[in-house]
Amino acid sequence: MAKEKSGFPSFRGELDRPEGRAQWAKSLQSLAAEDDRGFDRLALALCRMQARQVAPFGRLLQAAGGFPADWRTIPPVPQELFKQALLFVHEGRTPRRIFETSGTTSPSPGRHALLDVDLYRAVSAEGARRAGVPWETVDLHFLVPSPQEAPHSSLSAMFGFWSEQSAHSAHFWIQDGHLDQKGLRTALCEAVRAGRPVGLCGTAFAWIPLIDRHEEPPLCLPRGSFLLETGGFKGRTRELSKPDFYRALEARFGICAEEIWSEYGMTELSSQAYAQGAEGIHRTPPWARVRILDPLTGRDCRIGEKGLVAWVDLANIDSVLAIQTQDEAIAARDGFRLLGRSADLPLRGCSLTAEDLRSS
Amino acid sequence: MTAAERIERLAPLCSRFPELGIPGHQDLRRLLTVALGRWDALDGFVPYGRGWSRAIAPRSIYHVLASTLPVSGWRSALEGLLLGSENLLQCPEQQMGAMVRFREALPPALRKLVHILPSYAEDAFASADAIIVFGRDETVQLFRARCRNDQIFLAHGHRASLLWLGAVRRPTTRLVEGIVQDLVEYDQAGCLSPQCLVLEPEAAVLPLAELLARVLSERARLDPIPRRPEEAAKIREARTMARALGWPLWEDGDGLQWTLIVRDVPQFQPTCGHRVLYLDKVPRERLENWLDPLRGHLSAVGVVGRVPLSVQQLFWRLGASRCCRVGTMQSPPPLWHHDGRIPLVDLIRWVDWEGPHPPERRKTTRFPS
Repeated sequence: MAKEKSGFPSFRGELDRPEGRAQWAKSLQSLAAEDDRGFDRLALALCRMQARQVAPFGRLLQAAGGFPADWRTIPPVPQELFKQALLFVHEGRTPRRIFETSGTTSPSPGRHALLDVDLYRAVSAEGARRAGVPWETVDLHFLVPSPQEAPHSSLSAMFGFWSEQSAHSAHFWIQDGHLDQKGLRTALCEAVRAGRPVGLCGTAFAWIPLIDRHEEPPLCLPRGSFLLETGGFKGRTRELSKPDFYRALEARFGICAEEIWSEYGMTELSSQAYAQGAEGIHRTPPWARVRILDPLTGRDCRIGEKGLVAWVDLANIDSVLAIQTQDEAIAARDGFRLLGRSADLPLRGCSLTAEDLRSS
Repeated sequence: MTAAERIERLAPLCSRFPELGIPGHQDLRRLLTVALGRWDALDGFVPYGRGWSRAIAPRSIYHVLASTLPVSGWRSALEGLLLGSENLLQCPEQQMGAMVRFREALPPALRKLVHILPSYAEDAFASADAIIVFGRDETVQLFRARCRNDQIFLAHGHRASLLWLGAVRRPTTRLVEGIVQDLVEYDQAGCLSPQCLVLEPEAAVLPLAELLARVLSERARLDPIPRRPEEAAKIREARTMARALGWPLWEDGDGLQWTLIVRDVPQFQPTCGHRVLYLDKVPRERLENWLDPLRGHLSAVGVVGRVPLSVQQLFWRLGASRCCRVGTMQSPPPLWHHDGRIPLVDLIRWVDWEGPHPPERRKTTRFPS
């Protein structure tokens, strides 16, 4: 990649060409977890480019006092901003894919525009691989709609990339909004009989009908199988603590807690964090980092303190790399313990909230 | 206990809880009079047309209270007591202390008519003649579905209020103090709290914002409120959004006491509360479309000066039930039509006696053949 006078790679025209993007992917994948300087260099280069191209991000940098000194001082953009503005680096180009947030009937969902899904494909597969999720060694069963059925779902897309890259079979079990429990059960029973390990992956909420199906005996999935949940329950009609949820999964599928993975990602990001077991610490791949920020002070939490998750994702090249979420987590030495969506304030009685408007 | 006796016992409570907005005896009596035609219509038959009528109150009322503010629960219980009903209050944890305090303040004869329930109580719900629910649409729907046909059901769903100042050109300190009063009361969490301040494009927005910032600063200095992390997160998010979108912003930094944002959005969007006030410039010809998301949800509108007829009519079409002077949004009068309804009326059932004389109170009455 060409160098600018500053020594940073020149992005002008690079990241909107397939070769430049492939080169960037290579740079990310060659980063070592402890390579602070390398991360900083790439983060600041990306930040500089995005600040020029994405006006809201540029304004935030300006309001924060100018160009950041290091990746930790890049001001994160609120996740909510993806609902208000299209944050897209390549003005004048048509995004190949726009992922949209779900879970609400909002007239304006959060939209994440990607010039291409190439980098998302590369990092979402590699990130899971590095975390240790054994997705390449088993038959995959996804409790989400297929990418064809849900073209705006980043989660379906990610599982689609896994299925493309896996030598094993893969099936998406949600069609027309319904989980084909019977078909899934038959497929799993077959796998159990044949001793073929499986990977079951879905949103936490999609697991509920399977857990609640008491009329059928529990399964004992073959050795090497794994479960992967994502999304959490907060704000939904049913809430279940994570330990209870994992215990129910263990009992239902005859699997131990260490074989249950928690994926933490979001539409507005390209990278994901993974944790293993109910008490697991979420860790990011080397090309993404997370800060846990105290909402009262805006500063980084110390280890053991609770705050809100803010991401710096070097794979988010088409929008903004730094994103502030409303997800709570406890800062840990080498990651974070995810608590889930920030508890909403008490219901506002008769006062109206954004969610009320969306649902009315 | 007669209505007069209940009024006598409730009046001291009204002065201990000024948030109720009912100063004393006279207003309690007026509440009954407006609802029933005569304040003593619950005690016996009163003349009605060519015959006689008597108001029958629910024997028991099951109230589902809101979690943010106690005042709606207090008022609901007070009205139930005024009618002489037993009151079963399903009280969220956040308001438990406030409701206990309210109950403790009642004289013993009325206290025994108030029961605080920490969670949903099926038997109590089933036994009630009337159900009153405060809350979101989902909450309302949930309880409505549980109701029997013979139970009276009243719901106070989500609502929003706003300030409309038209093309105000010379904002005065008095006006701004009124706005601040409306904003800070209950930390902007009630349905009477203004979510935004709507102005016409000719209005002096920047001088108004600067004056507001000054008064809010002073208020925050004199009476700061502690912030919880969840509140702080929402306030910071609103501020960061404003900065990113290039909207003019005034705020108090890490104190997180107040925020003013001159916003530019195609249609109304709610605030996150906690004294985050949006100033929206909306031309009159676009006002209806701009406010459309509030259709059916608008509650009170705080105004100053003249309100053009077209704007008044728009507010009524959108569901507003109250138009009031800036500075008084949080203090509705005792007879306020909450959600457009006359207080107490919906809880009452009437029975008619068509004889020439009302039935005697303590004896069998012979009906003339």
